[in-house]
Amino acid sequence: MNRKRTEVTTSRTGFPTVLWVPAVLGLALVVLPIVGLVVRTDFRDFPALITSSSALNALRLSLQTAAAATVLCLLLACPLAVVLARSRIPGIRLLRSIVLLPLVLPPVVGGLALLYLLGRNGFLGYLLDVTGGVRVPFSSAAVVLAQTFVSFPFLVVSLEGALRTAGERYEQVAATLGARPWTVFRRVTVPLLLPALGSGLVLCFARALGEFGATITFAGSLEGVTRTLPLEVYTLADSDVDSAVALSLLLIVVAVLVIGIARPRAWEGYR
Amino acid sequence: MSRADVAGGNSVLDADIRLERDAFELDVRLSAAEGEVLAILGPNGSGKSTVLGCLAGLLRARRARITLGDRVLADERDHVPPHDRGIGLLAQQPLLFPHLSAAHNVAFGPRSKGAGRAEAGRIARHWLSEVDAAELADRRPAQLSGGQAQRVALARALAGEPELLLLDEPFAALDVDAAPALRTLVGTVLRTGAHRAAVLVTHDPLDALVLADRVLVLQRGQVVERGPTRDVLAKPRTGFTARIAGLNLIRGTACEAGVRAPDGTVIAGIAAGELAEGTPAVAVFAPSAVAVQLDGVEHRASPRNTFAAEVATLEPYGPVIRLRATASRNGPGCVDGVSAELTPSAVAELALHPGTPVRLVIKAAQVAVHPC
Repeated sequence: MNRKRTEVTTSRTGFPTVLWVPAVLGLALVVLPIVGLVVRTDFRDFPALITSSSALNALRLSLQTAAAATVLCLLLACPLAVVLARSRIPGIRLLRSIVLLPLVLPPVVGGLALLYLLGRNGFLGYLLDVTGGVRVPFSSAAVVLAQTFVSFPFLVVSLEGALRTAGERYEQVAATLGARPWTVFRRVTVPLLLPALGSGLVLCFARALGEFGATITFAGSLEGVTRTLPLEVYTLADSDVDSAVALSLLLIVVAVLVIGIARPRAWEGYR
Repeated sequence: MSRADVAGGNSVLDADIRLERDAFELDVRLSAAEGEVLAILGPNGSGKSTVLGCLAGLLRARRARITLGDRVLADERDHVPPHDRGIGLLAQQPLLFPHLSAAHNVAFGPRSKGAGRAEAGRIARHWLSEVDAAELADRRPAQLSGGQAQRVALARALAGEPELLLLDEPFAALDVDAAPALRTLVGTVLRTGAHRAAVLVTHDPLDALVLADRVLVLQRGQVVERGPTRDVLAKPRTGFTARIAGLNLIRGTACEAGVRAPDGTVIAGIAAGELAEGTPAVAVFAPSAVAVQLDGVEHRASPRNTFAAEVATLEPYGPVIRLRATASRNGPGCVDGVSAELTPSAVAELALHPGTPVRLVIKAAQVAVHPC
């Protein structure tokens, strides 16, 4: 620490000191509720509360569906990001805004929209039911779909940003060296995207893990089938507050872990 | 522009490129003969990089006809994609793939063209040693200096054994220590490489002087001058070329003080890089670095570069008069053709006219000595 003091620091022309007041208030808004939750937590029974069978069911389901949603995001978002960043077709800007829709839409609206697409009265849901006997709503698959819907814009945005920052220069050089488009994609585009892909996937996973609104409207809250951790917390909040608080703390721990992994690149910019 | 200025029937590369973008109109016809290096000179925004982009296939012009050997790279209907053109591109930035080692960067071209891992590795080692970068093989691009990275990029461009080598301001981003060494290396490669022709885009006349056989000067998308490098740069016909060129150059061999001309005269100057004594070198200086004094008049200071000469011609160049000197009977022969810039009042004061014996004083600090 002594060495730090001898290093050169930028002079203090930065910002008005008075900004500290709202800044501290803002920080308090984030930190104090969590402190409140920690204070309220019954740490003696904590292990028992988070290992009850319903809690374990919810945790297992949450991890499985969030992982499946993340994989689905990877398969859908990566090609979409490349198309959005590199294609020059007219209307690409409109497409780019449409992709952001789930990011700004209330999740409950997204869930409702999914329900009226894939529900028994929805046109795709009706088609699936009649032709294959497949009913999507109120199944684990519905949970995965709801989570994918809300989280995949995160991956598209971070990948597209990375693609735009990197520019096409490396890809052009690769082409002059004789690499066909597929080789360029495999050996240049994807490797250069890996850092953004990593942090984007972690963000996706986190968003899927915390999904509530779209899930409860589209998939319902059936224990072991569609009741993920956030839904379990919501269910317990009235009847068993201690359990709800303990599970909430569990979700916070997971969130902190996710920030720890993803933060360096996703929040602090590239290079 | 007479037809004779363009490479004749033996040309390997022929291009006729026309495009319009906003208010910019580009219309360029160029060709390069077997083994020839063509430099495209021009100010920023003149369209020279656009021409290179069209040759590389990265840009598609509205109307273009480009042939390389007996292959048509672009015409009204077809546009051969960059990866099928058989070209090598060295840009201002090395653009080494950051996730690959130097050796894997160089092996990228051969691998893309179907060579096996071992074969590509062998080719990469060969080209890395050709550019004196064999010891850098395992380094990541982030661990290389600018000059080292550009050498690896050169090896990478060559490893694909391109028929056409494209160089886009390859020394512009390098610091003053690294540029001359790389320029020498590129010169060697251009003379010995397996490519059939090369096109060099630059705004630095020195690059053209040292590397190119012929130049083409581009201004606002139009070719304003073309011809053999020395002719165009020695007798510029447009303002731009006059500003950037009209540079004096005296060839000889490197010596401790600067350059020793073939007649034994030493031109003192500052070496722009490592130069072994006795190797071919060129002293380059601007006409503005040459002062003219009347012969026979005594002066207090006696700079090292003082040479007797005679006035050959005096021509106006915008606000100044450009004096071209010729060797006098008792002076050194190497000053033949050296030009100096004077104000009209100085010309009047000294009563200069063709045939006047003068002394040329060249400031040694403004003479750059380059390997060639």
